[in-house]
Amino acid sequence: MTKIQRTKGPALSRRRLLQGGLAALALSPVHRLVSAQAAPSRRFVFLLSGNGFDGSVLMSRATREWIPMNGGREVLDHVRWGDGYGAPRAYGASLRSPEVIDGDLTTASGLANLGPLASKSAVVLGLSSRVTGGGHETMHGLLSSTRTIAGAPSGRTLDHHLAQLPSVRGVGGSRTPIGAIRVGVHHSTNASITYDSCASGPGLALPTINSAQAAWDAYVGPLASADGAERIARRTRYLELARRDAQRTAPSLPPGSSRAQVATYQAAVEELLADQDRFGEVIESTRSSGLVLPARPEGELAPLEQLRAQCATVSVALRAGLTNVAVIGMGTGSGFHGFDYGFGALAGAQNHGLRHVFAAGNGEPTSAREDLRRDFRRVWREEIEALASIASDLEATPEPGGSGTMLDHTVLVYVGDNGAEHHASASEFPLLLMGGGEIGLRTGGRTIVYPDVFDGGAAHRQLTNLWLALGGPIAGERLERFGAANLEDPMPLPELLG
Amino acid sequence: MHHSKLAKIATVAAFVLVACEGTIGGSGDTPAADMGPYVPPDCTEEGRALEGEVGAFLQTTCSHAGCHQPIGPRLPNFAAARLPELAASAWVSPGNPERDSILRRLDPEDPTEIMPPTRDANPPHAVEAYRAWVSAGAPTGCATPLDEPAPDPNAIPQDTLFACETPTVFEPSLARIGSHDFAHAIGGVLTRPALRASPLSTSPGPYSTHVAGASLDPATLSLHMDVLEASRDLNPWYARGWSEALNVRCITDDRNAVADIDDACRDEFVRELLRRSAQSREPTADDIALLREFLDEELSREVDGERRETLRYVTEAAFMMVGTLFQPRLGDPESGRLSSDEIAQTLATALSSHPASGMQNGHRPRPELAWLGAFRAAQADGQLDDIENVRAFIAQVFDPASGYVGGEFGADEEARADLQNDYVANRFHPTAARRGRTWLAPRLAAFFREYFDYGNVASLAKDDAGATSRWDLTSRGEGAMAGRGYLRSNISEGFAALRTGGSGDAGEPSLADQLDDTIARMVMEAERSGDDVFSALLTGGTFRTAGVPHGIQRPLGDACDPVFCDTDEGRSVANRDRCCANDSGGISPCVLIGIDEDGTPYGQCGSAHLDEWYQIGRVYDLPAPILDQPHLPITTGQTDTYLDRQRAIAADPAHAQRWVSYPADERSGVLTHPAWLASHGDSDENGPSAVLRGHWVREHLFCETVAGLDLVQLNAQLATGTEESRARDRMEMTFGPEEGDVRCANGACHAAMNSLGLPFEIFNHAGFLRVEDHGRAPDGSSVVTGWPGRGTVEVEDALDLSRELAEDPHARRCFLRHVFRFFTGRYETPADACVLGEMDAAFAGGSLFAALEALYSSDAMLIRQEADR
Repeated sequence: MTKIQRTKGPALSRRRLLQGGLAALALSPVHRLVSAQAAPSRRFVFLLSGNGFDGSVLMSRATREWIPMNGGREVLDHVRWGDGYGAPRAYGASLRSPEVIDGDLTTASGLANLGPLASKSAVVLGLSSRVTGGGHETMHGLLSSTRTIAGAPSGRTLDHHLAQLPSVRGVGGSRTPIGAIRVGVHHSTNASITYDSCASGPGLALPTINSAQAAWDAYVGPLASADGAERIARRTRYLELARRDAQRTAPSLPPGSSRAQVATYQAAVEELLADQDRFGEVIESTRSSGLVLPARPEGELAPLEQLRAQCATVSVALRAGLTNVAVIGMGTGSGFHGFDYGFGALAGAQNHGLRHVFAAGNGEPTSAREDLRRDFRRVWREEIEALASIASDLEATPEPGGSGTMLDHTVLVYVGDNGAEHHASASEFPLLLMGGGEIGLRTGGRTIVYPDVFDGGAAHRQLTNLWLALGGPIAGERLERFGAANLEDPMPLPELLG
Repeated sequence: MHHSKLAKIATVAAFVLVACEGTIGGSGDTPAADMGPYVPPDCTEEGRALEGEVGAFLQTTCSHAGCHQPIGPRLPNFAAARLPELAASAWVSPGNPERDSILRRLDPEDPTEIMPPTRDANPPHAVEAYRAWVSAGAPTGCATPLDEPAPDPNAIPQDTLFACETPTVFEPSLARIGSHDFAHAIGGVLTRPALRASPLSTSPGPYSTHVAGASLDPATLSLHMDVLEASRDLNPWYARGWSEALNVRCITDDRNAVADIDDACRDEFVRELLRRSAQSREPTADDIALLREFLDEELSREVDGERRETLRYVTEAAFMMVGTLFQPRLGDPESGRLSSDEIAQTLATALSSHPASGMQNGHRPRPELAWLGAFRAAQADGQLDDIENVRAFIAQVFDPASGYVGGEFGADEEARADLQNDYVANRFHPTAARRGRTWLAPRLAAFFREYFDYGNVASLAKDDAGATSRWDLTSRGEGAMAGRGYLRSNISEGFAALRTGGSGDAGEPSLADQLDDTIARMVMEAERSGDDVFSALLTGGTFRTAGVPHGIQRPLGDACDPVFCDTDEGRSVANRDRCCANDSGGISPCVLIGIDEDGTPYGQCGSAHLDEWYQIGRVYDLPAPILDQPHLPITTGQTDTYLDRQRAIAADPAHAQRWVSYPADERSGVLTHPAWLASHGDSDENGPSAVLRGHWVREHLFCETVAGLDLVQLNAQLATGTEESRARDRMEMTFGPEEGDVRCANGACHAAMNSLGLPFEIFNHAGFLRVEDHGRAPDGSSVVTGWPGRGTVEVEDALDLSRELAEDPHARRCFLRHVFRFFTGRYETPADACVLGEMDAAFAGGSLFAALEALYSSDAMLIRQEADR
């Protein structure tokens, strides 16, 4: 009899969020795999909010008080904050160094339900990323600090970089079976896989699985049942056939590109075969761990329900040790256009048109626009809470072979994929960081404001500086260059390093 | 200081005094110093780090496509590996940073002089590192440089690509299959989401065919396996007629016990699986043996009643084999000549992605739909054995009358052959039937869709799609803003509907499909009549238009005033007699039907969503919505001509009445088609559409790279302007002489795009013809600068520009270069000049098919050789 338990749904209630996922207190399967791990685990989760979110949802009461005292406009709930109003000139152009604001993060509208996780979170304001361009979406630009041109990425994204690092993926017996998982939510049910957020290099986009069911089948299914495990075994048989074929074929090919193509294929086969072995170990370990698995999502789900289901899958994948890197796209690329959130002022209309209403005008708001802005803030709060549900699960799980909890070894990032505005100029990318205390990320419930976001003075910093921190010291590696941004200072952000 | 170092510095410095007039960013020859770089006697860690930092900075910052690349148009070359050459050249002043030409551009006094021009400042740490390196004497030879960046093919002078000196050699190659090939080979259709998700759709180049040298990395392979698994319901062995047709019932019938399936049956199954589906060619004995072994293992695991699953697993395994994932173009090991099998496959790949069998899920084999099937027949007849016979056969293939490259489907045929495999239904399919009669072979159609780059038009947001067109009724009616939100919204929604068409039986071809059909007709008519295809593409004015999807059409009611009856604003409350009062006391939508001769809009009462869907054809300026149901006539303001059209289309959904010929002062060729204009337009009508459109023209008709787009780090947005600001006004504010910020204004970037894009300002961002532009007449005039071979050219508008391009020899050859790139799956090089020359000579007569025939019947294509043979 299997010890795997299933919940009946995504199990992402606020209550569960606040209580920290009691069921997840069971020993992580990773414990069983990595009992004597020398290096600390380092995990990374990125939740990309398609078409951005209004930065004010991350602003605590203290931050709201600080901004007008430092040359910025007043932060008002009924007024959008994006490029056109607040962000560009808000953050103290006269400052010569970043400002650190203490204060209860749960006083921010989007963070109201963070509970104890707030002390392991940090809000970062004032980072730009103009190299990515603005507009509706920056696509691969966000995580690569390059500009996507005609849909083609211009560089590798941070998730891919991280997934390649031995310090993140692990080596030998601690290597995760999957380098990174990339899941998402797209308005079109036909777009079950898209290629608009991640890349392994210039022109080499990586896929995102936009079906919550398909993602569950790929990552949770093998853990949940014998059928799922047989799926892994069958894959191994396919790969073994491919290996024999490639070994047999390669010598008969003329030297040059043809042989190199088959060699590349053979190397991919070998890598996946090794990963299959590791996957099998994870399955065995999970079965004896008592890890609670979410039920397979069924039926037609509203966008935020899909997001919660994808987050549940990611949470399991991290805790089971399937991967240490995850990207969750919430309507990234063009995927946000047709969302119907299905509630309040957002019900029955396409997201794109509603975003225009949200962004239009800053004068006296109409009641309809006020309702709409209120409901969009709810969307963003629920996005954050979906990410926080992963953090909560990780917080409730002791770090295998290490100190603290799994959350202390995991950095979670919530950031808009185009910045802070429907038609963004890439001037500012407000973001939330969670976790990572044991691997060098300093959070502490603080808000860090980087100055001069519009004019880009010497103290101005960019997203690339954060990527350098995450891909460098926090990943346990040296990283001196990333992307194509023209940085004022090519260093990681010291304010965020513990 | 070391003596030799001093001597070298002195020599270089002296040289700089006389040679520092060269301009970085220019393309003139600049003499190099006549001595090698200074190599320090001892490589310290500090020196190595500094040299490495400078080399990496210069390469990543300057050595980009269109800039200072190994074959880039601008000197010097900033590849890190060339740092010693650079250090020894006149550009660098070792020991004398204040005289250093590069430093003056990296950190200029005048900000408009900065290099790269995509920045407003270079990173201080990088500038200081460069300064320190120069101050130290520009030492080289210690650091390990980065790999050189890939050269920019557009930097090759075009003339050298057509000057044949040494016969072109194509190497033996493997072509990784694409997602279309895969979907068709496994017996599926591309409307199936699981197959559409195939990672084989990605290629490392600009075209889907750019698979030369491509393989599968772990992420791609993993997803390929996911797709195989997700499409498991596809099992052609149990599709109607397959088992019988291929004589494999001995294994497909699960009443036959595993032990009773003999060797011959097993071998036959494996052979047919590889031959008919996975590989679409006669498999090798080794491939059969390997897969047979796998089949035996799976059969040994089989549980009773799971034969279907077993055979499906074996099918999946077949799609993991090297011979399936890679199509060989290897040629004979001795002579290099492609085998008849490889020739058949090569020709089939040129025209389609359909396998030999025409295997379709749920249907019998449809060999008449499979190009490769026909070529296999020619192979079987021996037509592909002798090289001269091969060439004769290729000539036949590219003959427009042959039915291979394109054709017409008749009114009595079910639907177009080229679309069959991508539609689930085997019967008459309304959406397919609503396509144009003229078709091009799928791969040819794909070329045009990818070259003109309009396939993504459905996913691009367009705000206020009809703005500034005759359908922008903002200022009509009572009060300046009457009808603003209501009609603007309807026109935009109608345009959104047009871009995606519809689905199923109710559907209408999408806007991209409509351009596919328009191009097919342009090309086929030109090929048949002996006209010039290139000119037809750029000047043709007959477009296939859009009708209201069949399933959306509903009865309309009484006449109403669409401007006045803005249901959103409730204006109609006091004037119900002019609107559509309904029984419940509310207001129903008034559907805009047309605009009469004195400019007054008129409408008829409708129901929810009709007011949007009936605007689907407005971008084509159709006077009234096209319906195909005669019992639902539009009665307001219509003429007999309109009713004749409706009746004709009702009788034949693909009737010629769906086509409209535009006057030469409205549309001229593909670049004035709404699908192209919208694909290369901004989201706002006064946004930077001109930049996007000019960028396409520069790169696709002039074959020049716009430098450094991947490095833009300025606030790359147009100046905001005022309500009266047109797009060209905002561009003038941004890039003109009065601009306040440094926005790439020094001529290196936007000068290459803007003047080529401004002519398209007679259209808005969504492709509507403007009738006014922020209070002024539409203005498409432009002085195009940097026109290859002509310098400066004045054009009146996009129509004039298209006609100029149609006659331009440089643009014509550039188009041919893209043809070469698509069909060979790689960029051209000077070594391809002989084949390109043959294509050019064939294309001189106007026929694209002749140019393709020249490519496919060339020695290079048919006889493969290693480059070093």
